[in-house]
Amino acid sequence: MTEKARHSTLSFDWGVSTSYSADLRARELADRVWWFITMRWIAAGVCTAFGVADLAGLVPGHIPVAYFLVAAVFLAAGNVLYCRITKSLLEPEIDRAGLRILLIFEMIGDFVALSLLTYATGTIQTPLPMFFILHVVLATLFFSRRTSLVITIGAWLGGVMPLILEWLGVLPMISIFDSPFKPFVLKEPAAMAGYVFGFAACLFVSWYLVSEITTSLKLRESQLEDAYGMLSRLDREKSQATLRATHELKAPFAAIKSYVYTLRDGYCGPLPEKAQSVVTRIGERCDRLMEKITAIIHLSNLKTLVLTDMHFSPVNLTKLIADEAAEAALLAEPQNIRVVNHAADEAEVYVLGSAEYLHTLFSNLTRNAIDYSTPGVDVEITMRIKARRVSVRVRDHGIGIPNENLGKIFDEHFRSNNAVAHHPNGTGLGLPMVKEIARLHGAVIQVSSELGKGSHFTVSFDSVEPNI
Amino acid sequence: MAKILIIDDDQDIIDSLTMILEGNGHQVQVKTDTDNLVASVSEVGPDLIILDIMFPEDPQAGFVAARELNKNAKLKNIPVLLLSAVNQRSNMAFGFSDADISPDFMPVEAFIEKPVEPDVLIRKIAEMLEPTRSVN
Repeated sequence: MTEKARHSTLSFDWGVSTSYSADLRARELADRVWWFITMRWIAAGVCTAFGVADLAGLVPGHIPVAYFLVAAVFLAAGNVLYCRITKSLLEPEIDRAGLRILLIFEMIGDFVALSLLTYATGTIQTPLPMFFILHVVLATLFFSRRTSLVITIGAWLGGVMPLILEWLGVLPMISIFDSPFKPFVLKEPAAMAGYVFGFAACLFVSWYLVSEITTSLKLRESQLEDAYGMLSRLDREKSQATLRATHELKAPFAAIKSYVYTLRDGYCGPLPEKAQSVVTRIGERCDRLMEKITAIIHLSNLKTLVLTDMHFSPVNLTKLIADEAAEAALLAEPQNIRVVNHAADEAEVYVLGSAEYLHTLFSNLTRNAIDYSTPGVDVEITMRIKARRVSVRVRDHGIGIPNENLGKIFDEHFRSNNAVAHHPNGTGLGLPMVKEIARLHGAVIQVSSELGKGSHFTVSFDSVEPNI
Repeated sequence: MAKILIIDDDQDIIDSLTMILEGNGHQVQVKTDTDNLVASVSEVGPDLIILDIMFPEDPQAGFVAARELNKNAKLKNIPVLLLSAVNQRSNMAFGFSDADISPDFMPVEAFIEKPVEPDVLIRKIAEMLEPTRSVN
């Protein structure tokens, strides 16, 4: 864990969701700008291909090829410039306002190119003005309603301007088909008005519908952001409350235990033998109670965690097991129990998870195996890898679990009679913790046991690449 | 022997620690909150401070106090032993240990979890008061 991460965890400063979503939106905008540039390269390519095809006589009608080649050069030159500006706006951090202004200029440039191509392909004889609608849709996604409306008006003017200029006689009429329809439209004011206002209706209805949907989506996004912010706050409050509860419950026992130490070690004068024994027992009981309180709080904390709360990363399971086995061996040694880690012979395997919680999981399993073993036997840890599935088995040769109790061992506070008789000080919370941690990691636990001969617990995970 | 200042809000912890420290020849002074910290510590002039982390008004008051002392040129060399009832390996996203000691976050000499075995406490204090350590 990095120092920064550790510190922020303790100070409950886990970042604010709004900065995260703002960052996400900026990256989304940058992606769209690049997408827009890519589309423009394609358009420039199509214009070039069309011009070349026309020169080769492959295109029917009377299309002036020069306009396509001019449009291709204009779009390509514009794109080179946009690429450079975009790159400068992404470093050192994404300049959202700059990207938006750039998008407006890109759209103006596109409108000029589209007008040119619309004119070249006979205005009302071509579907090219439909590409103005594409810009209107994108404008409603990136800009406010007012800005996108202004862009829609620009798109409308760009789409109808070639026809109006032809009608006014400013531009010579281009007709790509031998048809009387276009001259008729230019002569008939009603037909002209029908085209101009029909195109306007098409654009403004599109703008209205998409902007309505976009507004509704933005509202929902904002509500989701608020809800996420509230959940983050609640999560912080929950952790603070858990910390406070842990302290409030443990502090009195710490004080009692501190007095026990003073009595035990003679700081209050010598104690009779019986009193010394009672004091020792008070201390031991205190320890067990503190351990249980910690376990209860830890378990309740685990139960309220969901996958999204976890900060998972690839964990070297082989190394984690080796560390855990080494720790367990120290605990087992005084009881003349050997912890044998066969998993150390296996290749390094990674699983996606929290190293801290996985330590807790395997520490509980190995601790259980030791606690319920008899002196002189081995606790064995093995690892099996099949396809992408890795299974870790902790096996003891201890007292075993009665068959009728196998289904209850993951219940909170449950302890079978033979377990209590062998190891009276267990909390009955270790295996429920194992179950919760396995749940959070999507791991499967299997238990097999034979009374008087021992048990084995197998936890299976999906392995992952170390550098995902 | 050393003059030790205990800063803790729990009177029972203060009393029991006082018995242990005085029993080992140390002189003990007590402060039950972190208010007017610099003035109080300057007035007492301790050789070592035992500092609790969580206080009723602020669950992180101990950290804040340690940082305040560390910022003060006259007091920053007094070794601070941080003491808390919150488990070092609580696994609850807020556990901390000696490994968390750093000038910005936990500017103290050592961290010990309450309750502390008298022998461990006395040994730790002796280590912290070693002249070579003070020079460092």
